[in-house]
Amino acid sequence: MADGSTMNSSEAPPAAEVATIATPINLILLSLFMVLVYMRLRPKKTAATLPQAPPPTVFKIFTPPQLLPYNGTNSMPVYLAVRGKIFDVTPGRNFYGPGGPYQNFAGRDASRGLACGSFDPEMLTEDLNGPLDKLEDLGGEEMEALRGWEERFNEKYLVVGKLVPVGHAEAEPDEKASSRNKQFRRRNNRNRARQQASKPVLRPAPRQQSYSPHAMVYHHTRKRRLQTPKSQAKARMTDLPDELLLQITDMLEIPSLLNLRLTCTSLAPAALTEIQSRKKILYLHPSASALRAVPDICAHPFGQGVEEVVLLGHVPLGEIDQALKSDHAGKRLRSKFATWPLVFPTGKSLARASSEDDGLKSTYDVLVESLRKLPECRHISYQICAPDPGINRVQDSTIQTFAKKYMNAPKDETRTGDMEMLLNLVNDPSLGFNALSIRTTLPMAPQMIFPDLQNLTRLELALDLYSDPDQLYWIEHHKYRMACMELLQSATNLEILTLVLEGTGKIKPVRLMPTHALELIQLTAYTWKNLKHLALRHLQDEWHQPPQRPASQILPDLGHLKAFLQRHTSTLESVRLDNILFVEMPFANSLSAQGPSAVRTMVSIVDIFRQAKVPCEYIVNRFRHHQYCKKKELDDLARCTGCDCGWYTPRYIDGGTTCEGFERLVERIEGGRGDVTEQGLSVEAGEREWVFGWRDGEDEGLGELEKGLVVLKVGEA
Amino acid sequence: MASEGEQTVKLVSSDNVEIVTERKVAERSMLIKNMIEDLGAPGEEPIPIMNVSEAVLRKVLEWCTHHKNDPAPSQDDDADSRKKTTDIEDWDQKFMQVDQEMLFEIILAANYMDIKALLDVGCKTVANMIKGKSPEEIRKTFNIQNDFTPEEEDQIRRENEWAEDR
Repeated sequence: MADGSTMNSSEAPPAAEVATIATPINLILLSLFMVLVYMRLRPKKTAATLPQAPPPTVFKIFTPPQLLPYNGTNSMPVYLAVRGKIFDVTPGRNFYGPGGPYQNFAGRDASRGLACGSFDPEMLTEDLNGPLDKLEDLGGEEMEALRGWEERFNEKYLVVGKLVPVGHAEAEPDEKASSRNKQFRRRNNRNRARQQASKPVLRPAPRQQSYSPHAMVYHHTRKRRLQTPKSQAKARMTDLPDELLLQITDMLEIPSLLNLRLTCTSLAPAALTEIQSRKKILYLHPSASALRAVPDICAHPFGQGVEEVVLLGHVPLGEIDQALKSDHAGKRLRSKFATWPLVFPTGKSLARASSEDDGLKSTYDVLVESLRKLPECRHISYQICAPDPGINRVQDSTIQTFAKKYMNAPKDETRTGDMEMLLNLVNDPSLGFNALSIRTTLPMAPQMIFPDLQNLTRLELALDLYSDPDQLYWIEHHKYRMACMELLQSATNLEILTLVLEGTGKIKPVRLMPTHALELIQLTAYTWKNLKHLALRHLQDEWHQPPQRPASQILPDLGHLKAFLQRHTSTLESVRLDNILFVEMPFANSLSAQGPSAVRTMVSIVDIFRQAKVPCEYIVNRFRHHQYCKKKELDDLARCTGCDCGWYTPRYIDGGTTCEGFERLVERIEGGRGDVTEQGLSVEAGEREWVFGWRDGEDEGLGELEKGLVVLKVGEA
Repeated sequence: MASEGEQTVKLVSSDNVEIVTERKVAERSMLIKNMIEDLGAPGEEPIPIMNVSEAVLRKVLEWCTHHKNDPAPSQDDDADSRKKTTDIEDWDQKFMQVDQEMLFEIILAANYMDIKALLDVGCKTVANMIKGKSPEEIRKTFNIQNDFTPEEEDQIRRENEWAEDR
């Protein structure tokens, strides 16, 4: 009715002539309209039924010359052969048909081309009458790609025949074949026509397929390089080749990678690969439940390639107090960890653990058994569970767990247990540890006997003292020092030694002088025959200001250091000194005075190594933390080292807006070549290189404390 | 040598559009650079960029034009680019404000044409889009279908727990 009247008005006939609705013109218009509606609706139906591939109707044997006409020209269907199977790819003729990116495969054996992802003509078997391409020379990757294609074709397209070489017993003579072909084609066409509910003309309108020309180009691009088909949709993240996905994941941090892994099956493998390639540290939380999980962790996909095992041990009381003081932590402690098992798997508590839980035959055995599953892991560490950027999810909970444990267990027993456990693991030949890091105060027992640690080639020892309420280790630091010494002396085969003053994870460190480290190495100087790398590191936090000692006190310490280094020059390959002594030096006073100064002595030490061609790095953090660093101090330093290193004021350094300050600094350096980099400024003057700026704190896993501002490198200029 | 900068080259996109550009610009692409060196006579023979459509090629050349005077990447850059920073220059950031399809096209083109710096910028852009997002948000951002079975997803969730950074 409505269309009748609108049509009428649009035709604008005189109203009087329209007596009934059923005028011829209305009937014509109505039928036209219905045809239009039909046409409109039909393609939708097509789209809905399109994905269903019809079952193969006639299976036929083709020889390469017989296959050749099936290339989509002259209204022929498009066939191509993959490993002897012939697929009817006519529905995908936008790709495989004339004008499509894959047109050269039409009517041909496409196996080699698809496997290699190449459109080169030589990929196609040139002699159609010759034998089929056996693909014997293809590599595993190419065969994998080919299988991918074949699977895809199997899913999407009809198998209509088999490809055999000319003269094969199964091959049919040409004439018969061609007449059958026609028959087959007609039937097949009809079939397809019914299937697609479209005209039996085999050339679908270009837009009828759901590919936009743009997407087609993309598809083309991707196939050429990735060689495995996935999707023909628009360019999407999931379509990137693996090598590109890995470049992206390379820039992500672990939490993002974990989330990415959860998105879908095509991104998960790249995320997992990336996670597995990162350095992995296994933190062992000292609780029965954590230990029970160790076998699982070691068998876990992330567990592969664990490079370091960290035993989390003793927490000093000061930290517990701090943890409990925060409301948040207290709440979590109550809600989450009220029933956490409070056992540590050594000594007496081990016995307690096994009696409490029959499933746990011996926690130590479980641990050793599990660690054996990590054949790559040669590094074992011990540190406390303190809030530390390096520690994983256990960090907060650990402190709280420990808080409870600590209240119940006598301290010395715990500490002895830690050390026993650690040394047993280090010495277990089946585990093969050769590197030990003790990143917290050395756990000590009243009588400590160290076994021979001959398998150790690498030792990192933090001289780390805490403000225990009872000040036990501080007061008895002589005992502590002796214990450290014994540890060092039992590791006779050390090649790499790192002594760190103030370990990570501290809350309130007690000031420890570099002297302690120097004293230690002096006492142990004859232990090592093959010491190659020595690092003495005094980590400095911004918030504490080093006490200053007069040069007269520092010089003897430097003497020890010099003697030690000289004794080892034949084996040493590198020396690294961070903040040793410079930090304590009252620059201006000592330098303005005549006679030997600490700075000069330091420089002479560095020079020993320069002459011996041993790379030596001296790093001073002082200037970042020390507000009193003045032009004069740097000038003095420069004079002593024979290099005018100019001066700067700290405000140019902070906040990353450094360039202005650095550029001025460059101007002031005479005879040196300056280079402003992202990290700051480096200046080469003579044989020395000065670096002003901050360093990435990544190299030795000691947290973020390393933010040295002046680095003096000598040797490798 | 001095005239090298003024030399032009003809590039042909996958959809057969010819684009004439400065040789110096085109040579940001190692693919083209090697081709020019192999062909010997730049400017005469059009160089087919088989896998890159006109729209993408123009975009890539826009980037190359802006960066044509950048110092050539040295050997050391390989190690440097592994830095986990995802800082992007302002200009590049603006340049990368395109729809996602184009973004991935650019990445693919940069990979194909061997323009390391552009590939780097593209990857960084994507990385920044991923950072700090939940799996669901990532899926939304990139229009990804969650095709895990609930069991698989649960399995991964459980595996992920071991590495969570909390």
